[in-house]
Amino acid sequence: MTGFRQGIPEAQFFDGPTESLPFESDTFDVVFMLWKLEYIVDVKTAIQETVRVSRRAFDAKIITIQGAPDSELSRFLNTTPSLSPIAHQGRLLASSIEHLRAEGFSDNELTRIDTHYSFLETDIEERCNEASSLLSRFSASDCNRDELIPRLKLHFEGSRHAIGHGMVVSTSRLCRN
Amino acid sequence: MEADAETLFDYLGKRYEDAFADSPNLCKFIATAAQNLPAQSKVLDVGCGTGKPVANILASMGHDVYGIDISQEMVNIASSQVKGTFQKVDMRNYKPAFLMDGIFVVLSLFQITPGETYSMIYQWSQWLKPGCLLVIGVTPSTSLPENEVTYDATWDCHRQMQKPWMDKYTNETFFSEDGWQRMLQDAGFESELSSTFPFTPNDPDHQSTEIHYLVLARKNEAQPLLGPYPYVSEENKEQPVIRRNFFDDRLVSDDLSALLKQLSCRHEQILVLGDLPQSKLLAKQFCVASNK
Repeated sequence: MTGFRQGIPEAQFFDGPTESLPFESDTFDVVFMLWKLEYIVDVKTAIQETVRVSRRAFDAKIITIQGAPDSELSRFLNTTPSLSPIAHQGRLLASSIEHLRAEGFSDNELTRIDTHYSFLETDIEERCNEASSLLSRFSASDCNRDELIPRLKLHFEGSRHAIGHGMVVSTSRLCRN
Repeated sequence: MEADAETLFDYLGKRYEDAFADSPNLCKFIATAAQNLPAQSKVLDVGCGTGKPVANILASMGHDVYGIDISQEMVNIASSQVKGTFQKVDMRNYKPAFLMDGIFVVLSLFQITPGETYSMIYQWSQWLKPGCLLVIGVTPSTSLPENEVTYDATWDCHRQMQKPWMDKYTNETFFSEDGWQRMLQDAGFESELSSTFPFTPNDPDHQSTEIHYLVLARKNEAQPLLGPYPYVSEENKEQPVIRRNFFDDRLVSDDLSALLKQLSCRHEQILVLGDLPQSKLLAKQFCVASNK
């Protein structure tokens, strides 16, 4: 089903409901969930499905990536009234870790990775406009520019070309005990 | 043009110690915190400066002191006069080799941004053993004249741009006392003791009285990365779910690339859940399987 092509491994991508995965049981060495937890309605069933399609081997991993609590991008979304707030990432991760634990994947490790959006525009007005467009894309409706642009200007006074969007990598493995 | 912290403190050297080290209220608070540590604790002084007074008090009470500072000049002075291990490193990039029993961050946060300040609190928690102590020392925004600062609504803090300080200009960040208490709680710390007092530097060209606010807090949540704490029930229940693909072309992450590369180096069966095949960052690492 998967293999290497010019040294790059193939991966199966699936963006349907995690509660019902169209794959055979005991198949994958790595199940990688990237920013998926917000969209899952039934977390218990979804985690049971990821466990079902994972190989029952000690080196199999279920890796979940969500936002870190110190993400600057999340802070903009959560504190700017005209933008749409983001769900509590730590709580989503904690819930998934608990369900994985119940399914035997109780060996869990959390690490933070540095991730940011880069704005290399030399003109600060242009940088603010680009950042404002990006934040609007992550919201239900366009932002109030009069509100957001001054915030972004202050931000770029300190972090000249980046808005941080740190992420947490949660890796769960089968417990050997 | 404002000076960055490294330039500023390389320039100041011993003059900084002469101006700020003689603070009886600060020394008393540090000594009280040090008494709350187990004997021979491993303690980290973040932004240690010349090592006086903080690292020096900790070392004299028998603790095993590690100090970091962004200025090589400060590290040289600290190494020459205080028993401990001192290293030139930017706190934002520091990764300790082992967990600490105590972390002291005293008057060393002015020149980083609000987002970096918030992020550092989570990192200190990650560097600490569960149940261990953090001490911070700052100037609260509530002590500053309103006409000299700009309110930053994103972080609920104040910024002072191009502030004249010790012959240079700096950009500085200030949170209120309540702001600090909230941020510490977010990262899973419980505040146990605080002290606020005026302090006048002993420097011929810089004698403006400033307010110092010190907090002793204990790490109460084992896993800061699952914060902010506490979890509020029913939070976000009414929020509509918005589809967001954060893997925009502007997203840069050496860490994520390294993680994906590590995975893709192995001949493994990989399933990726999410709307991501179009992501350039991911496309570098994986081919999308054409059929199954």
